[in-house]
Amino acid sequence: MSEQNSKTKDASRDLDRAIIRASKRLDLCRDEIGKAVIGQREMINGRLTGILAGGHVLLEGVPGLAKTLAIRSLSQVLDASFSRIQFTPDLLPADLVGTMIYRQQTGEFIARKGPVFSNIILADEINRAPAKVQSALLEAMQERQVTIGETTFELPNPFFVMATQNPIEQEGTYPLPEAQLDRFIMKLAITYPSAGEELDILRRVGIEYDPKLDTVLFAADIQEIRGVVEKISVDERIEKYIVELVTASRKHGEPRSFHRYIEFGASPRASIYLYRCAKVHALFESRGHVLPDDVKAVAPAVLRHRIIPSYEAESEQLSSTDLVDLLLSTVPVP
Amino acid sequence: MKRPALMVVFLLVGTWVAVSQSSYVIVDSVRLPAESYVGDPVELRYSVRSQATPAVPDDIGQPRWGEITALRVVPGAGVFDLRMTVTPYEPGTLALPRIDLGEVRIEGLSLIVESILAPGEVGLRPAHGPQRLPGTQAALLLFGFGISFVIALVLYLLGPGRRHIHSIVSRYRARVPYRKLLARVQLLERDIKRYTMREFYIVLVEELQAFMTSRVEQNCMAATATELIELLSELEESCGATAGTAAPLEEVLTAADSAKFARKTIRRKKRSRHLKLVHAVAVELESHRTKLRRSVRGPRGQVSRVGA
Repeated sequence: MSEQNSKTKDASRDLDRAIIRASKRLDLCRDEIGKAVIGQREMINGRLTGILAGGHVLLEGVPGLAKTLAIRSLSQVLDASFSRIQFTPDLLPADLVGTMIYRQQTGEFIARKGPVFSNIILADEINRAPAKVQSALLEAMQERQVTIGETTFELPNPFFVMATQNPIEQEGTYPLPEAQLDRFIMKLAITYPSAGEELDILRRVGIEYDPKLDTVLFAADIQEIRGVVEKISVDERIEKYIVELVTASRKHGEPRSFHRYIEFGASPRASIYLYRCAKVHALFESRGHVLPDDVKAVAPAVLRHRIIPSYEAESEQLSSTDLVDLLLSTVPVP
Repeated sequence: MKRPALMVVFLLVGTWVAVSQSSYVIVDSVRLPAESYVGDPVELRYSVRSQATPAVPDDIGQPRWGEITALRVVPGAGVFDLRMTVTPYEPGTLALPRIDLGEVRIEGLSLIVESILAPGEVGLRPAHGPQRLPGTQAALLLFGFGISFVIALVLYLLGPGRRHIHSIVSRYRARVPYRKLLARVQLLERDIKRYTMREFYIVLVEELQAFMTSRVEQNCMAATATELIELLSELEESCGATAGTAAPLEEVLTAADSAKFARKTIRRKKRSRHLKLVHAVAVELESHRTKLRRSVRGPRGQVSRVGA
């Protein structure tokens, strides 16, 4: 019995040490990105959460909020290849995943891999490309493999897609269908920086500024940190809380006052992602266990694109984020 | 000499006839009812001792003051009963007519009849209402008082009393969560050994959340430890009523989270101290209840959120 206790204590101590190590690396990573991007800490944390939880992130924000800069900086501090794909109405799936080309010298067709074969992909303005291109990318995101001709190619690991879309200028766009939105682990809403941060931006970028960022996180580190995340414990009551939050968003469950504002609730995928993201958030807080605070902290980003507001909600100008807030302020925490 | 002898003979014959005609004695008489009034039928019973055999006459002579409605003779050995029913229509002492029973004639009987009329009163008094039972008046008074009281009570309850009673009830209800929390703290203190560490903090935090929900009119059941502490800090800043409550509560809630979600061990001594801290916080919050409600703002506390 005492031997078992000491083993448990040792494992707990090891986990604590691993958490501290991982936290330090992540802090280092944030600091490096912070050299190029001022503020937007939530956005950076959101991207790191996406990478560590093994998901992809959708970013929504008006132009000029350092979305591209942040992802480029992230690719620099991570030892990872980076591709930026500007989605346009004339983009074809082959432009994304690659195509078979004929080599005259050898007289055979060879596969030319597209920009999707990178560790980090920035799918800029994803809603400007037609549905077939969106589908090609979303399939790659889901399967983590691409078939060109008759050959299937594995995508590199880590594989992280960050798609952006502009909440304004909706004319001529192809909004992502709900089923495809559901594949993004998080939807981050990027807001304007604070006045202080903007002043800092002005002072730093007022002159030509191109900071050199060091690579501080390697593929092996990411794998190791993912391993640490897996070891973070989630109590049964927290698991139930996650499921309760997700099921409360659905109309067919226990009737709640805010259900009239919800057209469709979140899918079971939301529960999985909420669980994973809460664990990553616990790591960010250097904790070996998940608290309700972690779940609440990630819930808006995980749920906001999975809850479809009803006509009544729209008429009362309630966004899906407001609905998530309602959800969080109603479901009792364990 | 012949004339006086004849006179004696006549005298003797006359006496014999007289004696033979009236040879009876009334040995008993009963009147039912004992007191009779004008118009009431009265039964008269006479026990008559006589050697004669009485016979009921076919025709009964009727008196001037009333009527004899029945006459009956019950024969016996040497004594017979004469029973008659008389209805008088006049008051006073009324003489019954001579009753001829064949061999015996009963006479000289009388009947005393009363009147409900006062002396000198002419005619009958008009009919009056039904007589009240004893205590009827008191009962009526009591009933009237009761009705008036109920009406007054209803008017009071609909008017100013309603507000008054409502305020009493709401004051009582408002203190229920406070009393419940204190009772639960006492119970936890008493049964501290019986609860597992996890159960102990689950119960304590749930009661605290319920109490705070009632005090700040926000759903604190859906608030995390951090949010509760932030809420108290906000209240400290806004009204100062909860001064010194956020810090002790932070210690309790952090320990509670560790016990509940990380299964960390928290010693009994420390748990006891946490109970005291919760008690103190509850007392502090309760003393500023009304102030707290006024200063509450926002739907819930703030937590840093990813991508918020």
